[in-house]
Amino acid sequence: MRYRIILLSTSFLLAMSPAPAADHVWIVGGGPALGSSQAQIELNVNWVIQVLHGSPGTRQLHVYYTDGNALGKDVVLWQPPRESKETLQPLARVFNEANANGESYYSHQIPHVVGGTEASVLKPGLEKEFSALKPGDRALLIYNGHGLQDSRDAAGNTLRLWNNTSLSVRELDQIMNRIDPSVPVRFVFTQCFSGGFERLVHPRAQDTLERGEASRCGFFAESEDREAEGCSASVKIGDYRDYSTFFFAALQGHMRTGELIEVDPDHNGDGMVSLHEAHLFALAQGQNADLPRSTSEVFLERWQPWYLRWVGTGAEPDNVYGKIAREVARKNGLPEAGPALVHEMRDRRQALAKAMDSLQDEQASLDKEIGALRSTIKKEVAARWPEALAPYTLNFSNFLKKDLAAAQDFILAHPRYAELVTKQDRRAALDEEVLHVDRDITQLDKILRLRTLARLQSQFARHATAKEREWYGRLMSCEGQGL
Amino acid sequence: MPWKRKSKSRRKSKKRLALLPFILTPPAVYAVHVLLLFLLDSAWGDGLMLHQYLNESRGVLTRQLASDGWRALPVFYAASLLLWFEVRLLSRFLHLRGVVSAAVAGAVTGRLLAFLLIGKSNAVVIPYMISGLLMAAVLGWIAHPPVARKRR
Repeated sequence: MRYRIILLSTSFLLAMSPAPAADHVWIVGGGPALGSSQAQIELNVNWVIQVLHGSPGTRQLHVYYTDGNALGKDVVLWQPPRESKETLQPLARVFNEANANGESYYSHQIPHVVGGTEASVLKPGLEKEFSALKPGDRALLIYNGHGLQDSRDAAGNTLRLWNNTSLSVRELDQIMNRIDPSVPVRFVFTQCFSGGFERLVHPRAQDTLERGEASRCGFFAESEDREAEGCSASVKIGDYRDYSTFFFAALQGHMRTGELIEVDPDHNGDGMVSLHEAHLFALAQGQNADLPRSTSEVFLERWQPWYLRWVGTGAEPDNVYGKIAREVARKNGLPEAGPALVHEMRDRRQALAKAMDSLQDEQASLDKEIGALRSTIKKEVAARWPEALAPYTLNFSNFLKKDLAAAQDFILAHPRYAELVTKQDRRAALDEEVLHVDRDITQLDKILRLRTLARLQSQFARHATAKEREWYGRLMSCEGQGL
Repeated sequence: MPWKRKSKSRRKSKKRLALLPFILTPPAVYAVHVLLLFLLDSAWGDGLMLHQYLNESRGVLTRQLASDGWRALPVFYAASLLLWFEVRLLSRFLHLRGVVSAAVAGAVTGRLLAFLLIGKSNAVVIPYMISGLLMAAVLGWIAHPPVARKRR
């Protein structure tokens, strides 16, 4: 009886006392439709979940992914198709379906999914969960998917959600307004034009320097008007190395591919890697086409007064950004600083721009040649087997049953088929080459941006007002938190 | 008396004409200032202006230049007032008249203000020094036109 009373009073006290503060993480991921919901996004989301589970402390996960727990297929995986009659590759090459022929579809394998990302599901879900946050909690929102730009107003940039729905910066700001202002809200956006979501730290998502009452900060793979490194549907795990790949590698201590990271991301040596330090690691190590930024960096850029703009652009302050600029320059085989670096960068940019132009010219001319070749072979196939031109019909079904082998033999024996294969393969390789050149150009852009940030940081230290220092300090303290 | 009315309006239009250099000088000097920054940035800096023009959004660059100009102009007008007083004081108390002495005073003022308010390096100080020099030279020319012009 005594035990029962103790048990009852303990449970009563527990029920009356406020729930302990908790860390909440929202992961929103996937594409807007099957064709653009690449397997790499799924791999990345799964990896982020692993990183979160492997990090010290406990946190409550809220995962929203494509169609939620519906049974339909919502992920596309691309693998290069075998060159054989069994895979229909000869037919696919002539009928312009060579790329689609490598695709396969399946339902996602993400654990703990609470719902889909369709706007009508995601918005009320986030509203409800955000409203439940209380002082002492911490929130982290991670988006891994695609984005769209509103060229007239960055607050109109959107997340592309399942079923071709969307969520704009302004809408997300309104949803986030339900969170208690004392709750730190951090976000990581990795999509194209993600920089537009920097507006979330300003009142009513306006284009101002002023900070809102809420404690918000974030990290973005790109600016508000640049595309992020494209999502590949390829299964090759090393192919996909966007901003989040490096960001979460810093937090976990090893890359997604399993190899240990060589550079210690813990800049201040406090034994913990903060989100800001993870961002700096991604800046320094990311050899990709992303030009990432954090809210504190955008704040500095927006802060710069007219009388400091374009002034003394050759100065090289020795702060954290200056050091990373030198590191990136060194990694890219450039002089670390001084006029030599500037001249070398100009020369290299010219060479890369020339290379890009010639690759794009080759792409354009190859597209024409491939079109002509396909059309020639297709005409001859159609003359013999007109049924092949009408998919989704009985004729087509009969063609597949009776004439497929003969038609593919005809294609394989066609005198111009080998030329078509060579040109199509070269065209696919060109995409890869363009990406490499784009990555190299982005490294030059990154060095310039880091040098600018280094100067901005030192100008801010001298010229900022007390209010501006307070805003910046709040951003830095929010970004400086760990997972 | 129509001849009186005529002379009054003439005086008025003369006054307006005399004000014109005071209105036009600050924006013109600011334009030269931006050009100077561009030259310094291209020759000794990272070449950010050219980079932004060639490789980034030209719209953003244009908007930035316009918004900077809007903020800079009141300061350039205020500086022109300061320099005008300087030019007048110099001629009254030190009898230093003419374009050259005004230009020297403007350069010193520009250098001093930039040194105190903006930064110490030459890259920071030089554009403001040259802007001060130009503005004061124009104002010196207005205050004390060359003798040959006066005789005519």
